[in-house]
Order: sequence, then C-alpha cells, then structure tokens
Amino acid sequence: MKKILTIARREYQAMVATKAFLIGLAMMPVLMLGGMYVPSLLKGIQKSEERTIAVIDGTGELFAPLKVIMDQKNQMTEQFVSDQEEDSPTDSGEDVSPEDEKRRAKQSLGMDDINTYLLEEIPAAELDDEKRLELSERIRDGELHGFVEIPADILQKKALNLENPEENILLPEIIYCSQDSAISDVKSVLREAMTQIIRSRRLEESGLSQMLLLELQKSARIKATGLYDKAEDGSVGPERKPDELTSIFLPMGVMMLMFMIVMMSAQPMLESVLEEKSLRISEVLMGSANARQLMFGKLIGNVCGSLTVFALYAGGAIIVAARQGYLDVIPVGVLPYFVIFQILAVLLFSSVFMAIGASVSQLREAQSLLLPVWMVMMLPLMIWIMVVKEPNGSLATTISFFPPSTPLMMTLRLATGAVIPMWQILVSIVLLIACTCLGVIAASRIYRVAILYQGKTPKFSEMASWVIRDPAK
Amino acid sequence: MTNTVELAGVTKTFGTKTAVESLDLQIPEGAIYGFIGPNGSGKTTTIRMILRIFKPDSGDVTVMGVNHGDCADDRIGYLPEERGLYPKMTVKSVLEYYARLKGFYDCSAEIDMWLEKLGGAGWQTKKVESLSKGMAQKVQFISSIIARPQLLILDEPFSGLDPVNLEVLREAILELRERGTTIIFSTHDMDVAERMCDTVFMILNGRKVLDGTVDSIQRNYPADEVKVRLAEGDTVPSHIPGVLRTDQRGQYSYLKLGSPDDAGGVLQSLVQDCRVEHFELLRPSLHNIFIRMAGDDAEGVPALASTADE
Repeated sequence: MKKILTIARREYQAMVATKAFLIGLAMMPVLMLGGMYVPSLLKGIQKSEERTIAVIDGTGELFAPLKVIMDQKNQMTEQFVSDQEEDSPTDSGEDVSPEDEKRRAKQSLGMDDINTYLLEEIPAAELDDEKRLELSERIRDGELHGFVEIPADILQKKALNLENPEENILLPEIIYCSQDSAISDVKSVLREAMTQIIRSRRLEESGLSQMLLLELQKSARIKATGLYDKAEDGSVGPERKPDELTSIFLPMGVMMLMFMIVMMSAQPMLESVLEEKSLRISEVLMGSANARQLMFGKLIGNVCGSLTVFALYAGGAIIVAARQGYLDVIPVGVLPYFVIFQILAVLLFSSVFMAIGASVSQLREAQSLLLPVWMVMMLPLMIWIMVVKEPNGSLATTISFFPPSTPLMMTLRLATGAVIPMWQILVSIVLLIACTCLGVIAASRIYRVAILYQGKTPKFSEMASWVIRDPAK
Repeated sequence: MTNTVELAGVTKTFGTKTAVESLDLQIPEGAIYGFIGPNGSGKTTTIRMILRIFKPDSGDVTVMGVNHGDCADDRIGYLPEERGLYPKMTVKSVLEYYARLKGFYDCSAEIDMWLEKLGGAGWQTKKVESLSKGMAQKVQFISSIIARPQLLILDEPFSGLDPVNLEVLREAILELRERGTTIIFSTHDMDVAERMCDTVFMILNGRKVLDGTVDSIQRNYPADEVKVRLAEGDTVPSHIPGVLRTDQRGQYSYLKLGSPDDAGGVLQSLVQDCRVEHFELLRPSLHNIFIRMAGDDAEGVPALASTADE
C-alpha cells in the first residue's frame, strides 16, 4: 500500500504542480466562454460598410417608399454605431436603456445589421438580360453590392387559391442578385422593408386603422414559473424564476465541467504512461513495483488531481455566483452525486487511456485507438439539448444507463432541477461501478503486458487477448 | 557460501518463442556475476524473472530465499540497459522517488553522499532534462543503489561513459561488492566482463552455454593462438606447419594454431627462419570463447561480434 501511495503522490504532484495544469485550468473556462461569446464579440468589431443596391421597380411606385425606409434605417444604424463607439456596453438590467430601445426598433425592422444602403433606381423599361449582365459586371467590379427586381404584379390583388392556401399569404417573389445572395443579410432587410411598405399600402386601401390592425394581431404570451414551494415563513410561492441561465446554461455548464475534469485527468494519464514507456522509465519502475501497484497508484493520484480541479472550479463558481447574487442558482444537491460520478468516470476513462498509452509508442499512434473512446465520451454532448428539454424522457433515461455516458448524462439531468427517480440514480451508479471495475481490471491487464511491449501498435484483438490471458504470466 | 539467486530448470516462452529453456543457475552471495549473450539471447528475460516482472512457465526462481509472489523485492536494485528518468523532475526528487518506491524513506543523506562520491555534488536541484548523458547515467546508477540493495542487477552500466566516468563507476561497483552486495552484471563487452566479473554465465538462444569463473572457463579452452614479434625486416613465413591463419596487427602477428600442441613446432620453425623478439602463447579471450561456443549461429555471433568491435 505504501508503494501505491508513493506512486499516487508523485502522480498527483506531476499532474497538479505544473504550469501546464495551471494554464489548462485557466484556459478551459476561457475557451468554453469564448466559444459562446466570440461570435458576438467578432460581430461587435465588424465595421459598417456602405452598400449600393440597384433597384428595378416594376411597379413604378415602390422605389420612393423603399428609399425612405432605407434612409431611416441608415440613420438609425449610423446613430447606433456611433453610440457603440462612444459608450462601453452596460449591464443589462430591468430598466430599458435608450440603446435597448434602438436595438429593439432595429430588430422590429429586421435590420439587425450595421451596414448602410444607398439605392440606385434603374428604369424597369431597360430591364432585360443584357441589363442584368451589365449589373452583374458592376457587382463583380465592386461598384454595386447587388440588384433587386420588384415584379410589376406585386401590388395586384389575386383571387384566393383554395388548392394551395399557402400561396394566399405570400406576395410574388422579389429577385435579389448579388455574389453572396444565398446567405446575404440584405435579403431579410429588403423582405422586412417591402412587407412593411406593401402592408401599409394595403391597410390604407382597406380603410382599416393601424391601431385596429395591431389590436387584431395581438399575440398570446406565456410566463414560465418554477414549482411552488413553501418558504420558511410559511408563504407559498414558486421556487425561483426560471430563466435561460438556470434552465439551459447551468445544466450544460455542469455537464461540461464533468467533461473537462474527465478530460483534464484522462489525457495526462495517457501522456504520463506514454512518457514512462518511451523513456524506459517503466522498466525501472517495474523493478520496484508491480504493474497493479503502478496502475492503482497512478489512478489514485489522478482521482485526487481531478478532485482538486473540481474543488477549484466549484469553489470559484460559488464565489462568483455569490458576488453576482446568483448563489441560489448553484445546484448544491447535485454536488455529492457529481463527486461520485466524477470519481467513477475518472477511474474508468483514465484506466482506458492508460491502457492505450501503454500500448503505443507515440502519441499519434494513440489517435486511432482513442477514436472509439472519444465517440463514447462525446455522446451526451451531442444530445444534451434534447435531455435538457426532457430530463426524464426515454432518450435521457436510456442513455443514463449506458455506463460510459452515465456520468455526463446523470449530472446533466440532475442539474436541470428535474426530479430524477432515486432508483434511476442508484441503478446508474451500480452499473457504472460494475463497468468501472471491469474497465480497470481489463486496463490493468493490458497495461501489464503493453508497458514492456515494444514494436508495432497492437490490434484491438491482440489487446483483448491480453485481457483474457497475460502472456507474461 | 549461500546463493543469492538460484534458478532451477527455468523455462519461459512467449507464444511460440522459447526465451529461456531449462535454465539452472546459482549466483553466490557477494559475487560479481556476468551475464553475457547477444541481443535476444534470453538475458533480459532471465533478469525480469529474477525481478519477478515475469513468472517462469516452469522451474523455480529463488531470490534471497523467496520463490513466490509477484511483488518486486525491495532488496533488489536494478539498472536497466535503457535509462529511465523523469525529465521534468529534479535529480533529488527523482532519486527520492525511486528510494521511496523501495521503501527507503530517510534517503536524503544517502543521495547527497552518492552524488558527492560520483562527482555530482550540486546536482540536486538540476532538472534531469538538463543533464548530459554521462551525468544522467550516474544519476540512474545512483537510483539503482540508493536503497542499499543486497542484490544489484546492472544491465550495460558502462555504455556511453567516457573512460574517466567509467572508472568512477567501476570503483563504486567494486566498493558495493566489498560491502557484500551481490552484483549481476549484464554486458555485451567481453573485455569489461573479463575485468569485472568473478563468474560468467553465457546464454545463447535461451540456453546456458557457459557458466563458471573466467579462469576455469579459459582453462577449459586451451591456448590456440600465439602472439609473435619479429625483428625489423623479417616476416612470418607463409607456410608453417600447424598454423591455420596469420593476422598482422601493428608490429605483432597473431598465429592461429590447429592445436595447442603445435606451439613448440611453430616456435622452432620461426627461430630457424627469422629473428624472434617476442613469442607468447595466448589464453583464449571470453570473446573468442563465445565465438567458438556460438559456432555457426548466424543470429548470435554477428550481434556479439559487432558489439565487441565497437
């Protein structure tokens, strides 16, 4: 036992007391948050550009109102951009700031882009394929951004088409041509502007007032609340206000924390074993401790390292949540289960990674062996949103009983705040313990043979035969 | 005298390959015992069985009175042929780790003493990756002896060392022997084996081909070569009865004899035709004996010969 603890101590120190560990510790959340915020940050630094759009108005009536709307949008955009440059972003609170008003106004127009538009009118009489070619050339030269063809019949009223009712709510198609027309934002800008113009015109013709239309178009609203509970003072009320943070991002964050911890533990195990094998350290170690002692020592050190990571992240999260007034959001009840699942997950995946590390002589050789392990590990990450929506659904429940996916799935389900039946939690833990025991035993047998095995990377069948019968025995 | 290691009828196979076959071996306490053989001959497998890394398929391996279990014996120190030190650790911490793995916890003074003795004073805080090959070799050597083993297994301990450092390590090994440590000395270098070992064990294709003191082995293989130096201007006649082959190396000629009994006749022939300044009947070297033992073994001989030539 002393040898196992000696090995565990070195392994723990090698894992925790390194610059790479500290950098990894800091980088993981940065990368995760970065993935969420980078797109909006990049959008923020995108510069506004002036785009010239040629308009061929087949009706002869719509160019002028379109120009008015686009000028309004340009004005709003210029104001918004200059405000953005002057002011730093403020915390979003309950009070609606003028910036929010502007943003909402822009969004209501479907104009959530920061470009300004100049419209150039092309007489409809000139429109033919030669003209289209000429305009396309101007686009290629960078003189124009795109051109729009408004069909002549766009204002004409048509008889109701009973065979194809969907057509009744759609206007004739406006053609938009540009180099990036398939993905261009300009399409939505034009769609919103043209809809607004035609709708106003039709409203005027029908004699209906704008107010009446708004009244007729009012939508139903639904307010979500949490389950009702009795507080200490005896009052009854909803537990807490459910929001995106607690309903989606918190469970996802808890699951990602589990994933990161398992990764930060398992990957170094592979590298550590590979280093010992390639530098022939394992030969020296085998003269002092047997393979079982080495493996268990390493696993214990690894689990301790992973618990350190958990303590740091969980502690950090609690401190940040307390400062931001979100302490009640931390799912304290999940933490004991998190620790149990984490320990089992680290033991299972680290032992598998160790067996793979011992079986290869270079990191790149490990990639093919790691692929199936990665796929199993990543499975909950692919379906997490479905599980968050239905934490007790059949998909979530079934995957929870698949041991390699259990740690991520169960912590995700528990973190949603849904009531998970206790039998499911217990069965998943028992299955995971059984799988971990088998995994560690199989991995230790592979490790025992593979650590002294030199030469080509063994096949899966070969490794399976080592599990059944150890050739060194 | 008691034996530190005893192997009785030991056989070990890996799949269809027999690594060691019916091996009997007794290594007496306090001896320096040479393990000699080409690559793949079964030396490392034998060492690993002594270390209990491998279990024999049949036969019995007894080390310091114990012949069971699969836990490494803390009384054995092991220096493998391929060196293994953690590059990111400091010299002191890596030595402490290896000592603690052997159950020797209060090792700080011992580490300092050995570093001092091998010319490594002040290396304690150096990272292993910053050491030269020779320095790392010394640290590796210290790691094998730091827990004061009763049996020390050294696999090619001198490879890569310059003559000065080689001498330092040689003296340290001899000092350990004087303290009563039994030493297994595995090497390809027959000259080193001849100089260092009391007893030599040769293994070829998993089978023992020689086992005994260097003297007794050489006695069993009578001299069949003479070393001759003639006066300037004289040359060894091309046809001397009893001489199979003549090699010229520097100012000496080496005459391979058909039989040791031919030595007198060869001397007479030389004296008749030339002015002989030096005539010496050579005892067969371990290298030559091994070559002779290996015979036509195409796999073993070149490997050994090439190593010996290096």
